[in-house]
Amino acid sequence: MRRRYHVRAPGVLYLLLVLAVGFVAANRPGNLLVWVFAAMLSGVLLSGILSGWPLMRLRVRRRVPATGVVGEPLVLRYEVSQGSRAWSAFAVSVRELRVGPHGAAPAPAFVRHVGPRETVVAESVAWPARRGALRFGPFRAETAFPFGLIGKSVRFDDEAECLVLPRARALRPGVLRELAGEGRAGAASRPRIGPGSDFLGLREYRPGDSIRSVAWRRSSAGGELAVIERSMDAPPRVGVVLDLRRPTGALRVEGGPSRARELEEDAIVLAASLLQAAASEGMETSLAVLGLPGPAAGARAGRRQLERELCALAALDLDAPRDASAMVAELGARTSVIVVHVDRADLSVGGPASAHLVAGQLRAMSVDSEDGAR
Amino acid sequence: MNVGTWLSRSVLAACMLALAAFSASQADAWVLVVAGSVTVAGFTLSGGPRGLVLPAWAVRLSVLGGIAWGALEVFARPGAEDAARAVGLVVAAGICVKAWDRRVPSDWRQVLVLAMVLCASAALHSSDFLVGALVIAFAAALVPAAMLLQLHAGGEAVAAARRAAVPAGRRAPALESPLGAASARGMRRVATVGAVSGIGMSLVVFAVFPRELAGDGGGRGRVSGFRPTIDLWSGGRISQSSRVAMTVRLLDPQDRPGELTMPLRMRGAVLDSYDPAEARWSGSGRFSRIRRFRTEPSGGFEPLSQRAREERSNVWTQEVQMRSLASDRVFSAWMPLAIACDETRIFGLDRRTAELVDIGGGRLGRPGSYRIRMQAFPSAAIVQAVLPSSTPFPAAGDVGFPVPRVGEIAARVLAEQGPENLPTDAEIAEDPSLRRTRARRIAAFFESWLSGGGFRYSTDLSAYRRGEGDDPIVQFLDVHRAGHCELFASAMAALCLASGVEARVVTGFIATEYDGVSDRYVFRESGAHAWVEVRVDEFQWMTFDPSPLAELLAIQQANRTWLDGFRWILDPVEFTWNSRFAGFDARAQAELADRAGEATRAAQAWLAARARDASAQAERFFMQGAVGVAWVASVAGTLAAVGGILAVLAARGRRAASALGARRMGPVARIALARDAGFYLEALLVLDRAGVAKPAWRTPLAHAHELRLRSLDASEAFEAIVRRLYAIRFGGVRPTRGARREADDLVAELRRALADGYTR
Repeated sequence: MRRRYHVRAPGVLYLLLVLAVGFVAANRPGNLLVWVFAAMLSGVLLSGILSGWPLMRLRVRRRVPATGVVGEPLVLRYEVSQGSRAWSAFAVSVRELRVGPHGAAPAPAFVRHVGPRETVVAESVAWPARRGALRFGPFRAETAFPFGLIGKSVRFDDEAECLVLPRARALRPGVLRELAGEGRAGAASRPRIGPGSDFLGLREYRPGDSIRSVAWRRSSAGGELAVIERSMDAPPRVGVVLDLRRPTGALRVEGGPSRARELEEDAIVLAASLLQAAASEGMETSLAVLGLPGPAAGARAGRRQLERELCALAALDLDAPRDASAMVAELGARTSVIVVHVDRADLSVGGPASAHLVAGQLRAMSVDSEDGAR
Repeated sequence: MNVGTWLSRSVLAACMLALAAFSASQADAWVLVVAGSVTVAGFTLSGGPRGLVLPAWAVRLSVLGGIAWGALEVFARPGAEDAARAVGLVVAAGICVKAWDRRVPSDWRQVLVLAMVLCASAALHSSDFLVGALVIAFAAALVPAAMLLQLHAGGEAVAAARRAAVPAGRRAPALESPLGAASARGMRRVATVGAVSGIGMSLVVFAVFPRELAGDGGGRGRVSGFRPTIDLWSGGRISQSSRVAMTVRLLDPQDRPGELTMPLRMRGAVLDSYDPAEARWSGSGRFSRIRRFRTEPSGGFEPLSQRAREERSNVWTQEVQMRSLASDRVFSAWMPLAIACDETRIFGLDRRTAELVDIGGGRLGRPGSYRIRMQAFPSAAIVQAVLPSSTPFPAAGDVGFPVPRVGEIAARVLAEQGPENLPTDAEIAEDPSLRRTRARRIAAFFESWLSGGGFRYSTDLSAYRRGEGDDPIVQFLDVHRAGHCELFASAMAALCLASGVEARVVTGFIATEYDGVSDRYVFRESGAHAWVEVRVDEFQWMTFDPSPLAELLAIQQANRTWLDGFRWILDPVEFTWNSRFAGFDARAQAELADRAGEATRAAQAWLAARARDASAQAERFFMQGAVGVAWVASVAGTLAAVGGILAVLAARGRRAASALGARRMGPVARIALARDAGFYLEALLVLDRAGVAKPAWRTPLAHAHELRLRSLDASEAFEAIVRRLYAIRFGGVRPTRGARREADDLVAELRRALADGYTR
């Protein structure tokens, strides 16, 4: 922690006013004017002392969420604790000093009051502009309370990191169904007891079983009530393959490397949008990234699976060396494969039944615009 | 706590106090009534639900108009006091306008700055008790106002920064700025400490601020009417206040109180030197002829000379009780012979003019009461004994006045209307005693000429304009023929001097008001007066008063109000204020420094004596000399080290108990827990530094699960740490040395995993 004093613009003006009054008091000595000068001078000293005192035992901890989303507000929380037993701290603002890469410093958080031995939580909002790791460097707690003339700040050398997920866009209705259908083998069932429609087996009746599940013919033949057990329906399965085998410089794109990098980001966003759309329709999803180290988990449904896949997309380092020979592992017979390419489709990836998309189709397929407006 | 509402109220209170202070300094209640009403209405209506505010152009136009008017006023009346008044009026108008302006933090700040400037302007003009009390109240009100403004401005600035950071088309989430518990109490505490510390520090700065001797009977800048100098160009300092300055009991030679048939004049200062460049009367070489006399509380009268001690005939006594006036001047009706005071003080006597001053003698403040024995018509022997530095009676050619035009006027008036058969120079050369006759007749003529109807008494000197080579006495005699007592006295003294008659101006008080119940003359501030003493003999000065007394007394009576009957309540406070604060000068500074030095030396001596006593006692107790001292030092050092170690262990135990929810454990168990589960505390610290601190509300295992989003390795390492902690905390397991080492390895692994960033 490093402590510093800052003279603010109102403080400079005030000092000039004090000097003017002091000059007049020295030339036209009236004791009341001398006292006014003395009181104004004391105000400067007090401003420094009273702003520094409450910060002596002030502690601030930054709470950064594990993940954020591009273009969505990222709420940073600061636990501001006043360790002093007697002194409150007022008007403390907490300001980030270094946020990077690709991150604009958020507006400061503001604490109106934190009492003795008390902890309050202040919030500020950052707006991540790019996918990837957002690193937060040192931050500063400062106050100019009570008079705003001289401020005191305490710097906390703390590091924190947040993974910014790509912003998945809402796809046009029916797009995913067109690409994935009901899965390559259609709807399937799992060998587990569930509320599905396929027959799994028979067992003895137990109190509480529905009267509708009784197998009447078998029961009349056997003399004891038997009920039918049915299997669980398996949701359709979608595998999204992101083709990043070609390095950025090798892409056939007009506009140079920056445009190529934009297209790669669009491809990532398109993959994220497909995964989110599939997850929202209850499908099982899996993600494979070609050319870069990526996830190797099986297909699953649910929010946690989507989070894992988005985290993997967020963590992709496009500056890392690409593996041009990478191929798609077997995704399973009933998995509908959608391959997302950057600049042009390579039909050799994903098998004959797979659907192929390029990053340029993102805008045509999505409902909302880049800034989130529909 | 609604910051906006309290801010508005506190700023309004500060503005009203500033307006009241300025109004009191100008002795003009209308400033407060008009400006105060406009300000209150502005704050009420513009801050109300409808928010009636002036448009920005109207505010700017009003401010520019005010500044232009102030500039014109300063050019028209370039005097410092008139300029300060003009600036004050412009600032007061600015406050009125800003009260109707919008409400953003910069506006609040501007209003407070204007109020501060207004208070400084009031303090520049007057050091009266009422002004001082209002200025101090303003300073006290400014503290919470500035604090609330900081709270308000900080919140507004952050809100504006948040709005600016929001990308286009997005809406910022609503965020609250937290306000902890008992914020109002905390603010009161800070405000109290700030105000008390500020006043304390300001008094220190006030005490050490370089200043000169005040000696003006009431402190610099204070308008009490009486002054030991006369500046004829600054006519605005004539007081019309009916505040009681002092009361005087007059005892005749038989010690019977009584009232005279004529007004009683109390001499304060004698002014025998005129500076035509500044139009200022002052005393020449006043402190070079001074003789000191010390009074004691029970010491009786201190005679001013041995001859005065023996004087018994026609000796009167005056008992002076100071009320609101605190002055270093000792007022005496006639020639003083002896002085007594109920305090140990030193008084100084000017051995040429018979002026008495208080020199202090180790006391702060001014004398509150004193008694003087005096004679109205002292003999030449007495005057010679008391005033040995009196100059010889000068010849007519040795006396003059430095403004030639006054001489021309005096010659013309004497030629046209003067007394007939005045002794000529040739006759005086033959008979020097005729000089006295000539002096008496000329002085009497000029007195009657000035008070005879051709001149009018007025305190309004706005017609007097200071120009190159102008003199106010000439303007008074030649042009305006109206003015107050200082101009009348100055004119008569100037005419006499120009006519070869030695004369001097005397300032002091005049009173005709006599309280028959207490047998005391009542001297009011409006009774501050100037008159003339003319030398008519070797050791005799006669008093002449050219001011039209009837008009002067009528003006004094007209200023009385029913409130004057209650002024006595404030008299002690006002006297203390004037004596200790307004009259604080270089002499008081020196006395204060002496006292502080004495107190410091006494404290040092006391501490050294205590240290020697303690050392001697220890020596007597151990009887072993240096060995005993070394033994005591080693025992004390050991105890301090043990205490320090225990304190560190206790703090660590408290931290562990707090983190592990074991606050009910005893201190020994806490220390043991801190030792066994120290690895968990270390792990929490690692998480905290990595920015993924465990919230208090989340269980350790749940947090380990949350860490999966950040790093799978870190999650597994922390989960292993948590399981070890549970075995110790709830399973009663005492970890072996090897188990502790393994736990430390897990913490290192956690640190490594978190340092690597996002890993799968």
